[in-house]
Amino acid sequence: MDARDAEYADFVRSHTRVLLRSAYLLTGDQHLAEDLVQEALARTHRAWGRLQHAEHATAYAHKVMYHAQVSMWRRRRVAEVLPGTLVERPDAPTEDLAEAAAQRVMLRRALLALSPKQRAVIVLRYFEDRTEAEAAQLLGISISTVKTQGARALDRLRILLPDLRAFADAEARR
Amino acid sequence: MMTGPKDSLRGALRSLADEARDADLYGPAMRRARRIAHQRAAAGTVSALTALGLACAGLWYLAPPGGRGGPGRAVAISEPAPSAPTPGQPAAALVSPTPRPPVKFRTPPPRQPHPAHMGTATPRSRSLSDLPGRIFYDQQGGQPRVVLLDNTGDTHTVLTAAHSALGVSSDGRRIAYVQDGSLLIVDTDGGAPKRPYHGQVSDEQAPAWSPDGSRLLVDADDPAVLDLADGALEALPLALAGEHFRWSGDGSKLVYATPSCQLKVAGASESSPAVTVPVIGDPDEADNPSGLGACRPISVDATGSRVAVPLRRAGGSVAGSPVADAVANAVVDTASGDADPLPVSGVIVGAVFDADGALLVRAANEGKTTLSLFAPDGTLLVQANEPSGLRGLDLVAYTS
Repeated sequence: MDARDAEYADFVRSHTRVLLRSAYLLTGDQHLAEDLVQEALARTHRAWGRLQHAEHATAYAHKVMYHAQVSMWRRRRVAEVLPGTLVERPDAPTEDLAEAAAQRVMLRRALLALSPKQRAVIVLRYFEDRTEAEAAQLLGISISTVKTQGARALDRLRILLPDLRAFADAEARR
Repeated sequence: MMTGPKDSLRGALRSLADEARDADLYGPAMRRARRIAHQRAAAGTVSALTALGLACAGLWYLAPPGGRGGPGRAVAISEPAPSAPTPGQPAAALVSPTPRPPVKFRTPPPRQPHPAHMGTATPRSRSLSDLPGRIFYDQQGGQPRVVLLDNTGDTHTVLTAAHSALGVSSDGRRIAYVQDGSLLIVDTDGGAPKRPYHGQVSDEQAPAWSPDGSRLLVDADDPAVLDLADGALEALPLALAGEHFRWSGDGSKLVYATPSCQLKVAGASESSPAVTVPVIGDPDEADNPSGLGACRPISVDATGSRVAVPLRRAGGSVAGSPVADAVANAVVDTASGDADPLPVSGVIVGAVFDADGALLVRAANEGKTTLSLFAPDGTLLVQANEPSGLRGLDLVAYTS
C-alpha cells in the first residue's frame, strides 16, 4: 500500500462511523446505509488525487452521500419499515426498553414518510447541526429551499410524532 | 415546533443513529471505486447497445399534431437498463427489472404509440455528401478510439489512445481528452498529443472547449477554465455549484447539471445567479409529474436556449450504473423545460449541436441508423443513413 492509499485508508476508517450514522437516518436501514456510505467513499477515492486536504475529502464525501440519496434520478433507496429490534440494556427496566424501541420505530417511520430532500434537511439541520447555508451547499440547493423543506418536514413530523417529548423521556430512562 | 421539541428531535435522531452498527468499509469502497472506473470505461459501448435494444423494443412517442415543429413529431426517450446485482449490494437497492412504460411529458401530453402514423419532416437531401460538417464518434472498451465521419461517408480514426472523457473543439480540429487524470490535446490531423496542464483533472467533467478554441473547461480540484495560451487556470465562481459544464455556441452561457439532476443556465462571463431550467429534476411531483431528470448536458445550441441531454425518469438508474449519461436522447428548451419534439423515426440514440445551433440527431429504426441535420430554425436539411461500421460507437460531436 503506497502513501496515497494509506492516507485514503486512514480517512475511511476515521470517517466511516460518522457517515454511517447519518446514512442510517437517511435510509432507515443498516445495509442501505452501508451501501450509501460505500458509494460516497468510492467516489471520494476517485477524486482523492484532487482532494489535497482532509477537510476537503470530508466535505466531498458528505456531499456525495447526500446527493446520492436525495437525487431521485440516481437512486431511491429507503428501508421498509419493520418492527424495531430491542437493544439489550440489562440495567434498564424492560418496559422502558420496549417503550424506547417503539419510539425509535415511530421516528424511523416518520423520517421515511418525508421526501428524500426533507429528510436530508432534517438530518443535516438537527442531527449534524449544520447551518442552513451549510445544508444548502451540501445539497446543492438554495437556502430558501432549505428553509421551505425544513419547515414542511417539521410540520409533517409534528403530525407524525405528536409526542416527541415523550420520546426524549423514554430515551433518557434507557 | 418550539425550541423544546426541536431539542427533543435532536436527541431522538442521535438515539436512532446509535442503532447504526460499525462496519469496515475500506475493502468494499475500494472494490466499488474500481468497479466505477471499469464501468466508466465500458459506458460508451453499453449505452449504445442499450439504445439499440430499445430501438428494437420500439419505445417512442408521438407528440400531438399541430405542436411546434409540425405534425407527428417523434419524441423518444431511452430508459437505461437495470444494472446487474453486485456482490454486497442489497437486493432492495436494485432497479426493478420490470420494463417501464415510456416516459410521459407534462406538456404536450403524449399519445399512445402508433408506429403506422408516425410522421417525419421531409429533408432537403437524403445524401450524406450534403452534410456540411464532420461527425465524431467515440468507442470505449478494449479498443478505445475516436472516429471521424466525413461527408464522403469515409471514416478516419483520429484518436486511439485510452481516454475516459473527451471534448472536440468547435472547428473539429482538436480533441482534448483525459487519460489517467492527465489532460491531453491532439490534432485530429495527427501529431503527438500535448499536455496543456500538468495537474490532475477529473474525468467527471469532459473537457469542454470554449467556442473560439482558446480555453478548456475542466475539473481540476474544482471546475475551472484553462487558458490554453498561458496555462492559467481560473476557477468558476463557487455559486456555480454543479457538474458537466457545457458552453453555448456563442460562448455567452454555461449550461450544467446539479448533482440532483436539475439543469442550470448561467452567464459565462458574469456573476449573475444561474437560472434553473423548469420541470427537469424538480423533486416536486406537482411540478414534475413525469419525474424527468437530466444528470448531464451533452451539448448546447448557439445561445443556450436548447440543450441536448440524456433525459431519464426518476428511479431509472442507479449511481455508477454502466448505462451512464453518455448519449443525449432528447432536446430540452431551457426556458420552459419542455422536451422539443424531433421529427425523426425510431429511437434517438444521440443528439448534438454545433456551435451555430445546427442539430444533428442520430436515430435507430428497424435495424438502420439515420443521421438528421436540422438548421437552427428547425429546417430538416439532410437525412441520411449512417454507415453500418459506426454501430456500437457513441455520437460525441458535430462540427461545421
